[in-house]
Amino acid sequence: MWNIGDIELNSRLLLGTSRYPSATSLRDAVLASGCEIITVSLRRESPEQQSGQKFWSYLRELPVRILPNTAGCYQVEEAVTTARMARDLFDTNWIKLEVIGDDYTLQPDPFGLVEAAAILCREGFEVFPYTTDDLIVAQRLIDVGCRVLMPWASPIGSGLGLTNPRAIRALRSRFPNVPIIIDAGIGKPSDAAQALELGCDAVLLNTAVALADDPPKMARAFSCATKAGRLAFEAGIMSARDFAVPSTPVIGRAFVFDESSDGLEARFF
Amino acid sequence: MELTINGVKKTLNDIQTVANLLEQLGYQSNFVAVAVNRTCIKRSDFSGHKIEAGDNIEILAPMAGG
Repeated sequence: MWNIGDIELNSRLLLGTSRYPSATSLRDAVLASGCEIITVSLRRESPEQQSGQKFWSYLRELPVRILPNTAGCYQVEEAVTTARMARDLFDTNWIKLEVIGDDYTLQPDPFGLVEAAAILCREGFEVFPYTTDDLIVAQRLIDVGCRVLMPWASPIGSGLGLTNPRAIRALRSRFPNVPIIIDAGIGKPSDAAQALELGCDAVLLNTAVALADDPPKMARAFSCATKAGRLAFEAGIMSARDFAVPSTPVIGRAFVFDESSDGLEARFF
Repeated sequence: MELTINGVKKTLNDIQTVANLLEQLGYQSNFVAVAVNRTCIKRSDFSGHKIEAGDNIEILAPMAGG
């Protein structure tokens, strides 16, 4: 069990809804994953196509919370207006805040992000800021009212996994009581497990499931990975060493002659 | 009057409010988000918000997103 604000959550997997081969595949993946939060965007709706209405007719039946995003916004004003529109449409104060700073990497603009987060937090939004793994940016986001951090693992859609686990560990260490959701760049279940092993509270991913040959099966795999990673974190992961340490007791080995021992002692550690 | 709707200029007549606009354009559901001149118009204000000539209007709906 973990919390975002007053909301208690069981699943530590959040799913995006884009790039699935079909609406059925998306629905089956969401249900198979057991996730409780999915992300959606807002896009221009044409009266002829009304594709947004069709998409929404699939989503609204799912037993999940909606986390709208401001994907594609490059300016603070655009992101803030999109957030307000999302709040009105979806009747939620949750917003995954994206203010993109670079076309090529889709890297967040940390300056615009903090500025937009400050405005939205003042207006009562629960801001989920899509940010880099920079410690000081994270601190500024918390300073302006964010109660959740969403650092990237690596660029959106890259599948590179956690390229800087030390930075993520530093965030966890410096902000032990702030939920951290790793967002973007997760490519395979072991990446998700690694994020949870580091003490992150959850992962948000999309492409790794949507573009799998079997999205529902991959969604289950990610669900298992997040559970395994969290269990490992709670259990306490051993410290890594540079050299071997025998796991089988050394004392009592056969065929070893030692005058100082009776040769019969056994040790379990 | 001339309006810009989702980035495209259109000439429409007898438009008073956001609700009129959506109806005349053929939106079958009001489950859309609307901004006029970059200001969010709440759905509860669709019937009350006046449309002026030259307004820049965005009409958005839910879409897949990550």
